[in-house]
Amino acid sequence: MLRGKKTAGAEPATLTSALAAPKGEDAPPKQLVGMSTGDWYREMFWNAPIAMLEEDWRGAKRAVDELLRRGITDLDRYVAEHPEFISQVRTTHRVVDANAAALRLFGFESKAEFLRSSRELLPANVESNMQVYRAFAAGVSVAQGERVLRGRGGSVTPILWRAAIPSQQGEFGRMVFYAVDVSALKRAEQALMAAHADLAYASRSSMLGEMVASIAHEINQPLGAIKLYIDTARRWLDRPEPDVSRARRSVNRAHAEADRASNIVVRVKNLVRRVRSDTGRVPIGSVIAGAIALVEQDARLHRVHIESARVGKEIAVRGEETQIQQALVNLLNNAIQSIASAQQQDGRVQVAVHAEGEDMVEIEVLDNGPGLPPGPEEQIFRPFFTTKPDGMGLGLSICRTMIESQGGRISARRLDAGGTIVAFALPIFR
Amino acid sequence: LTSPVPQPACQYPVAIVDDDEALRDALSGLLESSGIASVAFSSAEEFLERSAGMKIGCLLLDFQLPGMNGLELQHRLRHLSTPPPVIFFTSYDRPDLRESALRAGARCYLTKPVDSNRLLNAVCECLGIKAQGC
Repeated sequence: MLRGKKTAGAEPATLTSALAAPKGEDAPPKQLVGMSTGDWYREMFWNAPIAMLEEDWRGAKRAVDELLRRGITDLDRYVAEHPEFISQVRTTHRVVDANAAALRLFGFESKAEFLRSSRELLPANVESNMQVYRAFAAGVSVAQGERVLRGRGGSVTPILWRAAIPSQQGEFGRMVFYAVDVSALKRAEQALMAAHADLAYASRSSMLGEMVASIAHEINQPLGAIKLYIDTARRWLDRPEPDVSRARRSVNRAHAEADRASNIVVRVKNLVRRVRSDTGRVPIGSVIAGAIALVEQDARLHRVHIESARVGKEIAVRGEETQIQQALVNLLNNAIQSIASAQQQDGRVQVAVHAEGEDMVEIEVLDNGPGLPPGPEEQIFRPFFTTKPDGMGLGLSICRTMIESQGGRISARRLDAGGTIVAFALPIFR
Repeated sequence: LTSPVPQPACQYPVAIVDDDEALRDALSGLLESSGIASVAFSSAEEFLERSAGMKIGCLLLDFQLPGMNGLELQHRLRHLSTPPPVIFFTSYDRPDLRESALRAGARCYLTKPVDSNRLLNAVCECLGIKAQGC
């Protein structure tokens, strides 16, 4: 008690004296003496171990303020309805300065050269821009997100970026963005996701295999018995003195076994129906984003660019999410692989969504690959049809089963400009 | 004449070991139509328990059984002074099983659904009777 009191009493004096540094001691370190605050900041900026860009967002800030003034608060919805907003605002955007780490990230040595090509190097990334706009609108102090940077010579680097949102109107002309190269992290993450997907696929197909084997065994038993009963009946009838009553007994038993076989079929059908009822609302946007995340690594490896339409959260279909996503992953993989097999340089895959009549939503996967093999388009969905040397020919046939089992349909056709479009439609969720 | 002639009464019965009741019944019926007596068991354990002291002409054995499987039963019986001839009769057309069964002395390995004539031929051969019409 006594000691505590003593300390408490002594503390204020010590603290104050510690904070009020003796004259001269808080001056800048020796090597910076003589620099103005501006010079000191420039020096820190240039040498910082993290990539930093100074960017002019004044035009964007004005544009967002204008929207807010007009009472528009749902920026996502506004941009979905006016997609040109992003590119229009982007024309007012400029990279003002970059530090040494940023130049390294983009693969440049000369800052002047980098600043000259920064517009091409940093095209408007809708999601990243939206993060900043949302932060502007919400009045929060930080925005952050992920995007991919295209450096010189086609290098592609996934980054995590973060920006402090200024509190003063005058500071939007020099907003500082920090970027961290997350390639290694992304690679690990994608390897993990791919492993998960493989595992899910493997367990699903081995489950399917086991189920088919057990159903086959179940049906084989009564079939075997039926065959024996009928042969037995024939033997009784073929005797020099036919034994009709024994033959009839055998035929009756065969009939009972046929009933048993058809009961098994009914049970399997019921089982499938139960599985189907596990369906619900599946938002298309998140299915597409998830599927693209799963194939992104592979796409990057084969230098295939994937783009997807923005899909509002309200657009949803009825079905089982994992199955729909798996079907989409399958189609994306096929598109990437067909481009890769042709060793194309400008590979592009596009995912588009549109209404199909009154009750369906159609998801299309377009690619500019070598196109479908000759013959009817429909054949690619047949089991064991493949154009890959080591393919099983089951992917698209499984896709069709998955889509059709949910009341959907799938089709493929050749594009006039070359390439393929594979589309599946599913019932809309209302 | 297409059917086998009725066999002498001294012939030992065929033991059927299969967990499927209809199949046991159908097999007994088929054998009966050829004048061959049989006795059926639903598991290897039941066979071991009930067949003690019983004279068996041959054993029609399924591979997949509840508890001890057909191959294990076959191995148990090899230690008898006069093990009955074994005919495997199974839905599993697996080369490794076929080989193990034949190596352990099985007379033949038939897959379900089985051809009646092949089955009767095999049984008649085991019983050492003329496979007339088999």
